[in-house]
Amino acid sequence: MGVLEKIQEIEAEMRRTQKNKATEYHLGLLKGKLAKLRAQLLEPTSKSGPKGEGFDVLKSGDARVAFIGFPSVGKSTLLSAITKTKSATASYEFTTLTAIPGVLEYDGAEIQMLDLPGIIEGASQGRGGRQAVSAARTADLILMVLDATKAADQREKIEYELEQVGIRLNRQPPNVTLTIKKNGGIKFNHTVPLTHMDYKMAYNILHEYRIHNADILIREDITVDDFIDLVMGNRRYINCLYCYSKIDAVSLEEVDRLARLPKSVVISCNMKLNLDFLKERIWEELNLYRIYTKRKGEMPDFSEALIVRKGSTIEQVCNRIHRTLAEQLKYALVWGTSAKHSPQVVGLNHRVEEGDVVTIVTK
Amino acid sequence: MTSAIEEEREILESIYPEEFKCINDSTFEITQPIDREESNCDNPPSLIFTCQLSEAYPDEVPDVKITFSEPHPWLGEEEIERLKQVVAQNAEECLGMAMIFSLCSVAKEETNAILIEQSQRETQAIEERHRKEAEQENKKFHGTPVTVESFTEWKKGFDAWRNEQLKLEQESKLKEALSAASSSNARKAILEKRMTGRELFENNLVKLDDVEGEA
Repeated sequence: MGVLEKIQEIEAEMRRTQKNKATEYHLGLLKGKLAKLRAQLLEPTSKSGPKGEGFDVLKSGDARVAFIGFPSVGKSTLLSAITKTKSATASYEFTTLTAIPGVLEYDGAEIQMLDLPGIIEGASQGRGGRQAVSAARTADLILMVLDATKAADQREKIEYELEQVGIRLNRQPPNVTLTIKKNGGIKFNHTVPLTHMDYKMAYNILHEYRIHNADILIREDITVDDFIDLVMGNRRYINCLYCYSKIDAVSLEEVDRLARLPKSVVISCNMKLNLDFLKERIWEELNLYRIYTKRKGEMPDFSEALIVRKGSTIEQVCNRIHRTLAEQLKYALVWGTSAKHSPQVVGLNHRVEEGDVVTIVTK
Repeated sequence: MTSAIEEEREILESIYPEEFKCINDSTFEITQPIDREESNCDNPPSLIFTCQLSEAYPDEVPDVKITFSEPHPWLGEEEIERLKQVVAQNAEECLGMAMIFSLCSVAKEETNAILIEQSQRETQAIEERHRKEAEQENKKFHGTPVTVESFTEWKKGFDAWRNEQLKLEQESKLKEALSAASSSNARKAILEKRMTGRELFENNLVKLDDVEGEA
């Protein structure tokens, strides 16, 4: 029996199992089995082509955004509209077949845009677009391109496919510590009341994964699915922006409704509407900071920014400038919102914030 | 047991060789399969007709019970009650005659009728839902057309709304941070509006010669 058949069998058993207190442990176990089988679908079966071609586009720039959507929603047109890229869609009669990279330059940052082929329903289970779904895992932000003229359920369908390959959209990893040990059995502790998880459920799931000794500390009221995600360990928590294209073909009232949905942007490539707002929102969702360096006695050069992720420290700033600079740091001077006074003398562990100006003083 | 009951049992055994079961001398059970095409039902259960004949049979209506081989969403208590009433009415009309075969036939016919009605009701519900969905989908194509001018005007209103949302969100975060702050100094630090490093330099609020002193 293949992996897909096993998955279908377990799904059927879950439907037959009525939800009540006595069966929730059984359902938890089945969920654990399902997660394992689905992960097997993602494992590569053979080596693909040379690096950088096809879907193995090399990551470049300061961040990567993956365009995800059904065929013919206008992803390639959008890529061309906001980058300098001429999508290779012209080489194919109907639609994009491989991943096409482009670069969006936004206020000093270089953001790689990856136009992935349209997803077909069932992509996560090996049907067309499976590689596109998997490639999305490498992105720092997913731009889900949806056709405003099409049915409302296109979004749910794509979210389902991404969920199957372990992508968690617009969510944070669960606040749980799982430490696998060599002995001592399963230790289960929590700092808040739990409504879904308990020792027995954790024990069952861990044993399904052949983990017999572990310390678990739970700090928020997680679900069984959250716990399985934690044990699986290969989940990707990615921000997602929902981009409704072709709004020139619907009413302004519909535009207003779509635009007010959370994390939603409405655009028209035909009429070049709202593309600057889209770029602005992409930047915001990527959670990047611009840091400016400054030599002693000179003004900073604001035409050139170092791009770092939110939460980065002076150490990451040094690493961005030069591979060995962090080792040579004597101290740094910081002007900006991260400094208690301007300038503040700081070390490698100082956390920088958007728009900070930094002078690196070496030994 | 009367000869009438004995005779009835022999009749039923010959009519329903497979379906008939004798519970005891005066209680009979007949299980009739329901044809899926006759009933327009994909997976119909079998109709189980149970009757208990009294000493006065056939001059007294038998005690009839109707169940199904397995539960089905289209055959609830209401439908079973309807079947009982149809059977009871028929029984009254058949007093004085052997009637069990007739009652079984009526019960089966009525079951088919019920299932056909339920099937049609479900089809109509599906069609109505599709019609409403299509209507809802089509609604997006009617109304104010999107032009550069109409969109620009709309965007102004949207930006105002969005800025209001962001402001409320920031105020909410500020309240949260203030309530979590442990001292008045910490609260002051939170409330203080600060410039980014870039803004400090661009607004000439940093003296370059001061920097030399730090080195």
